[in-house]
Amino acid sequence: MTEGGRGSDFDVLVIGGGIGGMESSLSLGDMGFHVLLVEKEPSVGGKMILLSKVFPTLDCASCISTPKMAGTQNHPNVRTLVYSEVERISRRPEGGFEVVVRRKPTYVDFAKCTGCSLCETACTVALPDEFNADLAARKAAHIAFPQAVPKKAVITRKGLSPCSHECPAGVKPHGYISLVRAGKYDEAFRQHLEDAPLVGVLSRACYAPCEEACTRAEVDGTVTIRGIKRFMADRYYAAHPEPEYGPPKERTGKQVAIVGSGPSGLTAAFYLGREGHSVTIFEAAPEPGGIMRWGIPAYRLPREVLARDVMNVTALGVEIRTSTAVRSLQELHGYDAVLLAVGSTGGRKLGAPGEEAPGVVDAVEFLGGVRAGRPMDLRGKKVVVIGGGNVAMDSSRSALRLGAAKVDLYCLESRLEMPAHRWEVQEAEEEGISIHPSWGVGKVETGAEGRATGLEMVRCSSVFDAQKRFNPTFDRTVSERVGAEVILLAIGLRPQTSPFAKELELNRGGSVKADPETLQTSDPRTFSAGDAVMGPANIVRSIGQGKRAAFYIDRFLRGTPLQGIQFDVRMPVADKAAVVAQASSRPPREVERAPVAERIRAFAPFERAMTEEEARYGATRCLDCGGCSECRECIAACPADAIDLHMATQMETYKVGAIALATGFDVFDAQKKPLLGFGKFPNVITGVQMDRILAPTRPYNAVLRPSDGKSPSNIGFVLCTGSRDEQVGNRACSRVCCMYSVKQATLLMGALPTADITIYYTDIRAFGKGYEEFFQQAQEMGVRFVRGKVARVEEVDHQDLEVHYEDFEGNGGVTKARHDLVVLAVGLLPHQLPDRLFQGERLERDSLNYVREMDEELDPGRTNIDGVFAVGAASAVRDIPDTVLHSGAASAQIAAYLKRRAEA
Amino acid sequence: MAAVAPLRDLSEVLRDGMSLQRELLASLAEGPKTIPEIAEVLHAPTREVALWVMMLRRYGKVADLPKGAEEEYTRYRRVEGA
Ligand SMILES: Cc1cc2nc3c(=O)[nH]c(=O)nc-3n(C[C@H](O)[C@H](O)[C@H](O)COP(=O)(O)OP(=O)(O)OC[C@H]3O[C@@H](n4cnc5c(N)ncnc54)[C@H](O)[C@@H]3O)c2cc1C
Ligand code: SF4
Ligand code: SF4
Ligand code: SF4
Repeated sequence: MTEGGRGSDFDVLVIGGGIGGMESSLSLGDMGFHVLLVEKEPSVGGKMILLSKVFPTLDCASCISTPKMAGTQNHPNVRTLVYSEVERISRRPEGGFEVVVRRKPTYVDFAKCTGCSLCETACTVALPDEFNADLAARKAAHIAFPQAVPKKAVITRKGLSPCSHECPAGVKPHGYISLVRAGKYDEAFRQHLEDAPLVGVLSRACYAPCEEACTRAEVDGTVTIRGIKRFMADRYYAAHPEPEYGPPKERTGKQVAIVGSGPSGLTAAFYLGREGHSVTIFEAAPEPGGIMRWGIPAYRLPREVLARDVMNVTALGVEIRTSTAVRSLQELHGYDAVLLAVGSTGGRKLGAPGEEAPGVVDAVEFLGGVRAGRPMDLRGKKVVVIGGGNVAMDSSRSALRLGAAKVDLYCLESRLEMPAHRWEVQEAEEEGISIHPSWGVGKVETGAEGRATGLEMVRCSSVFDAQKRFNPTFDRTVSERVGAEVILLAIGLRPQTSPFAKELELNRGGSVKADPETLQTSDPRTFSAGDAVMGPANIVRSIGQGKRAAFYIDRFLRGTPLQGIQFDVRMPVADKAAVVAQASSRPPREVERAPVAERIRAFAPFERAMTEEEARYGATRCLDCGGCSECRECIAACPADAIDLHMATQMETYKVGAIALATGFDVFDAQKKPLLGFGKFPNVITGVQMDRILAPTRPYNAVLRPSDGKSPSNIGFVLCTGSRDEQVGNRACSRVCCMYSVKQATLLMGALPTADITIYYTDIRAFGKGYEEFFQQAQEMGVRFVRGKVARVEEVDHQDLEVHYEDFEGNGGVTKARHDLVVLAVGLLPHQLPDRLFQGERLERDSLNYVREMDEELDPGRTNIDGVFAVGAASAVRDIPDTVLHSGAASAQIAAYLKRRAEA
Repeated sequence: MAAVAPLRDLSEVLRDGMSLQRELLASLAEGPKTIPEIAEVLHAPTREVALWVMMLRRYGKVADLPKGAEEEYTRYRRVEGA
């Protein structure tokens, strides 16, 4: 009927879906108004649905709430948005309001979800359950509580975990770590395989940027992510000598040629093969793998590990033609698309006299010879390696393993500027390599037969210019002569793109010019990825590029546009500070390594694999930074295919005629009274927690105490915790704490007939209808009421508690009593609305900071802002009967307001 | 009064629970146990074991046995097939 709305989408916006908000929505809806109800939690019901029974009638809270919740959800005039928050409210010039609602991503398609809970059971991340007042665990995937309306799962994602955010290939370390922690090792491997096929290679030879980003590093050392990966990959490969899958049945009929079988080519082939395209890889070398096969020494990456990874790709039907160099794109004219993944393995020249002399060897060729089984004979020789990067480290360490008498490494950079990783430099030095930073080659000296005999080195004063470009300067007055029989040059690599120079646009350094988003080159059919585009990078970045190229090649082959769609959009990184606070110290266990003397004798890997126990210990150090780990177990478990981890926040704007604030109250944080022991002693709990323990959907199987699951036999209640207390800034009486404690005491007498129950109070406020009788009834049942002020609670043996209180009756003075469970009857506080919710208008508050009602008696709910009304506990401490009454009165006011506006 | 060690962060305890659930279920292989009995096998604080048992109970992996009025502690059993 949109009477008062006048051009509005809804007559009324109700903020908050507790009992007050539901009552108002239902009554306004029944009157024919169109209502938009916005609730920030995943279910309506507010606090009441989580209660046990209601005082003084002892009716079951959920029996009363559930029909209202369902009624709200199904009412033809009420539209309910759960998991949504009102961000901004502004007045429209033509009357009414414009409201912006933030719809938080649930990561579950509510239209498909049947509420079966299978995702929760499968989920690998446990979090404190706020719907059970932190008494128990829930999972990242969860349905808020059993009677939730709507009964749909949502997933807690607090951002992308830093490790996953950092990975250039989009691998999700947090995901497989949470699977390893849960003992799901095969699932962990498969989760990784989804994100990158070269699991074994990455587990041995990745430089692990994830570990540098890991939050745990700020506590006591990074989670040993790569070691955990190696554990799961080794274990899986031992059990599965071959992949568990074959080529996809559905074929697209498209042919793709990939030039190069390094990490980018193999990865692209994997993803394109999975899409049903026919993929052929052309590889010049006799075996696939690129640098992984011919560059990285076997002590870091054994051949069998790579070979097994390659099977992950070929199992999809990808053909690899080895010893087949492609010299022109013309040779590939029959293919629908081409990926150039030729890498960057060409050597660079020194530009110094004498460098052509025999004895001066390109380091990549040297390493290739070793891996091809044709190593140079370096036994007893003096070797000098030029270069400060990873290739220089691999070459010098390989030279040592080939029996060189001495290996010296010279580089232009200072120690801090060396491009090699710090741990690599450290390992090289441990093995006996002498590192000489800040030297450049003046010339190569040669002997009688023209062979290299040594070098003249000159002092390098700086490597980079002010613009941070490579532009070394030398101080030639400082020089040094070094004798050498073999000189290995590891001074940078050039892309292998020369055969295509006439067919494609290249950059100055020889890399392929490609669109940074789509990786398409100047020839639309040809894409390029990996070091061929980036220049020398690393395996994991190349894998990332291979994935990206496959994504856009697939679109190209299907004839869908490449522009206007982004690959790999990541959510913002999770807040590290929030999780650091949750960690106690638990230092990493170093991965065991072979002693140096043993290491340098051979090319065997010297890093030992983690044991199962070590891997699980490592995985339990993970802090679950982002909440959900993206392990995808829920996706596998969900029969309705409802889960979508790519959902994003949506902002929606609505025009409404009037607004009802039914945002309820907040509860006092009992930790602000440290002498009462909450948060310190497990058996000191709050009244909110006790209501959960007594509720039908309780966290435990019975009334138990949290410290050990014992049935309590002697329970003490401390009233007025955080109410009528200037010390904590709340002088108001919370009105409900007395009565809910009496209610809980009464219910406990029923549940634990032999238990002693004591209520410490300063005075009992039993003001409502039937409340005095309710109080008397509790006394008659045997609940002890002690008038006294509790000063502190201490823990004694058996995790029991001693309550120290000032006795206002009896003998007076300070005395103490022992209990095995203590309940703090926490008070209520005004709810804090978001700052600047109302644009350009200020919502007035009363002296206790509740929303001010302009005239409580005559105009209930009306606030200082025309058209905005407060409902229920938003404007005063109200119990359920009062909230229901007040909601009805406020709804009548809202209806009258809308009518007046319609008629004006 | 003896100094009391601060309670370990709840999130951390629950993370450990995800890892220890197998050991916990194994501890029930020979028969139902109370929380203190399980804690003795796992060498873990009873408060933490209580949280882990309740998590496994919520997800259907353990169930409670009926408790006599005289008994202080509930016994928990492993659910077949869990
Ligand atoms: C331990 C305990 C026991 C109690 N026992 C009883 C009892 O036995 N009998 C009784 O009569 N009363 C009892 N009460 C009081 C009773 O819970 C309240 O009176 C009642 O819940 C108030 O209802 P409400 O709708 O105003 O607020 P709430 O129930 O608090 O609901 C407010 C809703 O608004 C949502 N919200 C808040 N801000 C926003 C926002 N910006 N955007 C969107 N949504 C928002 C909240 O998530 C919540 O769902 C008890 C209270 C406590 C703490
Ligand atoms: S498994 Fe799927 S259908 Fe079942 S509750 Fe989870 S998301 Fe919903
Ligand atoms: S992806 Fe894993 S951690 Fe995330 S909700 Fe699903 S099962 Fe839980
Ligand atoms: S603590 Fe865990 S989730 Fe966080 S960054 Fe480290 S590995 Fe990733």
